[in-house]
Amino acid sequence: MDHSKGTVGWTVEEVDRIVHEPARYMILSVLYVLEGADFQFLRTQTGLTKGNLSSHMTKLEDAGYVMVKKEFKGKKPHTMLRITKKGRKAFDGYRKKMRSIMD
Amino acid sequence: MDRSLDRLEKRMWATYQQDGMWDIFLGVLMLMMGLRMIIDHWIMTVVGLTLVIGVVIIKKMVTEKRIGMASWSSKRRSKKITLFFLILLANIATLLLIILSIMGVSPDRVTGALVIGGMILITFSAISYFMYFWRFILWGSLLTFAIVINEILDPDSGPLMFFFIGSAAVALGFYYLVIFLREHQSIKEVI
Repeated sequence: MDHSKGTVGWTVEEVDRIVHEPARYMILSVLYVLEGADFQFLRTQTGLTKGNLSSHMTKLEDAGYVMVKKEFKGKKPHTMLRITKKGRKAFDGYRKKMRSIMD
Repeated sequence: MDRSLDRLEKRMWATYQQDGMWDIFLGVLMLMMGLRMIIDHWIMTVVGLTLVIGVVIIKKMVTEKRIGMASWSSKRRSKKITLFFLILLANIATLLLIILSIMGVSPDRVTGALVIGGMILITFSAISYFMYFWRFILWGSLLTFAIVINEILDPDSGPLMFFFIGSAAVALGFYYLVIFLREHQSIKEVI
């Protein structure tokens, strides 16, 4: 048994801090069950403010967990997001760790 | 997908039904059905269709703009297709009954009313199940009740029943619409 991981089986350093943040966890939860969603839908479902959502979107995109596609519909900007394979794997891994201590 | 994520997906899907527009749509249909019993003129059908199309357009332009857009999973898309075929089947069955009636091969009033009422209830229940919108069962039950009462017990009560139920549906729909518009402000997106 690897005693450095305690009885939980993983260390605090192994927790993905990108996913661990509650707002980003909410965003990834929404995107995980969909094939994509726009900015307005994410804002409606998560209850985050525009600025907050935008900031977390950037962090997730920088981590490679979501893909952001910006386009114009007529004259209005429209942003679509989808979770990447890397994002799904990170999300699954995080949930598995949390379930190991919560279930 | 585990159950908690499954529940999340269902709840998100159900948010599209929170705007009261389906209640208004069904209420308008029922009001038109009641009015058609009194004013037997083709113009009533045109007015009814126009109102129904108006409600559908408002849902697209008001509701969906406020909630936003999602690309649903293939599992959800297949449920939507099932729902579409269910509604199509119900419409085909109704059309067949009408054709049989025109040909003189129709059941007696009681059997006819019960068959149509049953079909409506089953269709509305199925739609309610797929859309996670319980009020469809409520309106389906009341509509079935109105048809049965009208056909079997008291033909004169038909228009009144449809007006009453239709008005209740429209009023409730507007109540939910006001709450929805207050909760979901339209925003300018941050680039």
